[in-house]
Amino acid sequence: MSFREQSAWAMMAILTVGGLWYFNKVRAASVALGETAPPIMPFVIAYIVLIVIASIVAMSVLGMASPEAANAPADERERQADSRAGDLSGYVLGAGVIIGLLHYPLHMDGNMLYHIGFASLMLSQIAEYGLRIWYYRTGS
Amino acid sequence: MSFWEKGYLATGLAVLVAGSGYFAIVWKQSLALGSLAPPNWILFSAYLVVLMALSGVSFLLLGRAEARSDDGPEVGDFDERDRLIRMKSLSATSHVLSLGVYVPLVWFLFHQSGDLLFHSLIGGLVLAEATMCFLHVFNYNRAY
Repeated sequence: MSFREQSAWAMMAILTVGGLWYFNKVRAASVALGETAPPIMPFVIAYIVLIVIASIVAMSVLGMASPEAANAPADERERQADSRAGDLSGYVLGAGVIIGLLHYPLHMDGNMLYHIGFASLMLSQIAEYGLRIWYYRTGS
Repeated sequence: MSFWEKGYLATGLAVLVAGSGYFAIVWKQSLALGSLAPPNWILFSAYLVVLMALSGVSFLLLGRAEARSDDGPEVGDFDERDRLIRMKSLSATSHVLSLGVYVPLVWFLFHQSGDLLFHSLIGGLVLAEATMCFLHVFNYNRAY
């Protein structure tokens, strides 16, 4: 498995765990409130800090395991795979935001619109890394 | 200028025209109400219909004009260079779209208005769509 694929797996796992942790907190707060919880700053900040620290640790460990591969620039095939993955993940984000925009006029719940937008960002990032892995493996 | 380049230029302009129209109406409604106008299904649907109609009609008219004047490849053919340009443009657009979503979400933490979040997300989408079209035009004019 190439260094870039290992990095993509690590990032996908970190983002998935971070996203599940964040939305579990939001769900618990919403149940306690009896309505959609507003965005809670400490959770948002904790999520971002968690993702940043976990990414730095994972990349450092992977980089120490294979320093040459970590310093090598992406080759043409990897650049194409990254570009295509970025392109398609944009559709995931766009679709999520449009779902949120269609949901809002029906329920007039701004907090839900925020959470749908935030979830779309998370999902598009996870999809980007997943698609990178797919393209690295299939070479398409 | 190729068929696709003209098409993207026309679509980019259509996105800007429809987006400006949408925000002009929201602005007028907000002034009349004395506060930010809530999202309106009719206005949102009208915006989508106008956007699709303008971009669809522009591609249709351009296709007809090219078919009459061009002796080269079939109109609408998508070659290797078109594919590369599309990939590069869409990849850069995803960053603009992410920014267009991040900024309204962070802003929402301060103002807590769902209506403002709704309108600012539409603004982000309009910006990303227009950027995508103009990036295509920009990349077509570069030597790939």
